[in-house]
Amino acid sequence: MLGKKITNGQVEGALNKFLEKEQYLVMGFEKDSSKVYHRIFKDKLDNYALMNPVFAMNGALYLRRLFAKGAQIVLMLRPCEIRSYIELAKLTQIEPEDIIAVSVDCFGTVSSKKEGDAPAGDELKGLSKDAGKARWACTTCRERRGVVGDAGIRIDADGKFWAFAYTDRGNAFLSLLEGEAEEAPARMEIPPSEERPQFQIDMKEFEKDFSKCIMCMNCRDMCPVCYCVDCVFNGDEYLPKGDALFNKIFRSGSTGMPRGKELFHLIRMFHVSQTCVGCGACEEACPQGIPLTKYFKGVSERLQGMFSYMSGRSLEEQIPYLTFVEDELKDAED
Amino acid sequence: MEEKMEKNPEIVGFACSFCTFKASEMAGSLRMKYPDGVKLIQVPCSSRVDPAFIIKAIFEGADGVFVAGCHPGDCHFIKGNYYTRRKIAALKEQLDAFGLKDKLRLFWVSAAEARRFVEKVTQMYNEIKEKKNAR
Repeated sequence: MLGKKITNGQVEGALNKFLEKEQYLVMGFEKDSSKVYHRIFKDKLDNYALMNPVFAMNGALYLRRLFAKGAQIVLMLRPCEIRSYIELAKLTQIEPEDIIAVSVDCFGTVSSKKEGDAPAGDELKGLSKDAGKARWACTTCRERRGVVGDAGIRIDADGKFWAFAYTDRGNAFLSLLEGEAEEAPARMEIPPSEERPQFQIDMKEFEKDFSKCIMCMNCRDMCPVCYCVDCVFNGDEYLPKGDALFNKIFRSGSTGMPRGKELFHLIRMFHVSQTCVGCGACEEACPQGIPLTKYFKGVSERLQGMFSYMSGRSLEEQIPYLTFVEDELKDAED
Repeated sequence: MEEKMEKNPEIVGFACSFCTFKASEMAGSLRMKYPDGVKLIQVPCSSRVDPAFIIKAIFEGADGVFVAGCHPGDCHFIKGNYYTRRKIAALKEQLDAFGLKDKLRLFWVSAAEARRFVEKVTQMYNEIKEKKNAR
């Protein structure tokens, strides 16, 4: 595959060149002394970091209902964030016309709740296999390679950076970089992810895990693809209350409090099943430390597998619930 | 000893108003009987059924839920039931992951198939009743 080799500081130079023009923005990461944060840059890059080994939230969250109105935005984000951006663009929450999405290879991330400095160097390289340090969502990531979006920045086996374009808009990004395109090595630092066994669990374990839930709905608010303005769980209209709660208890036995949490999580699980990218932002936002990623990722991988779909793979692929094939699912009827 | 009370299940059914609900009305006018634990909810099209309704029904005490619509290709709104098929098949897969697969069923019943409607519903009712009383 043809790509451009990037030398040190070249990405920053190219992005600074891009930012010189009016109305041009870059969304990327800012380095602090110990941590790395999201930032939208205007005019000039400052303390810029290409990779972010600390996961606090999914950057695509702030792209929701963003219609650029002539502004040009370059996203320099992790693959999971670019994938959520693609899903949101399919759901018409973002106008992809004015956005150049560049996915950057990711070695995995640590939780932002964890104390201490962000991992760097060799510690960072082996992070995705280090279950003790990395987030669970990252050790089971489906796509750590920068192969999604308009362009990608990837690292080869020798530790050199390469830029690849996947669409016309990606070519526009590549033209900002100096040098000629050349044949890139076939072997890259980050290999494709492995398949995981099918998710299967019983209600008992579900209830045990979710017994801590306090229904703060942080998981919904921080989920990049859970985008409805008028969520059915705004207010308590959808939750059993009064007589309905009484009926629920008499019909289905003793019930945990706050009531209706299994409703909330299972319904949300279905609603994001085809768009969930498994980034783990929900688990990161949960004040109670519920292993939400295990459930959301497991269910979404299973449901996406039914339609051989993978969320955020490409802009052209339709979300399975919004399309159909006439001759399929013959065994759906009982 | 007192004989154990037989438990009767309650089943919520979402019935498309153009076919299954018509079939249920026809079953009534033909004096065919189906279990009275089956509560039908009329919906304008089977694709109106948000899987959230089904999950809500299951977790608020229904022993079973079925969604019934026109045969694929016969939808009044041209393609509504193709979407239903995808959504319900996916929801079944989700419930299967939690071991609740037997709670949800999907039927295709046209307006003329009163007998088929009664058979399907009675069969589902009996199966669920058997499981409920075995416990």
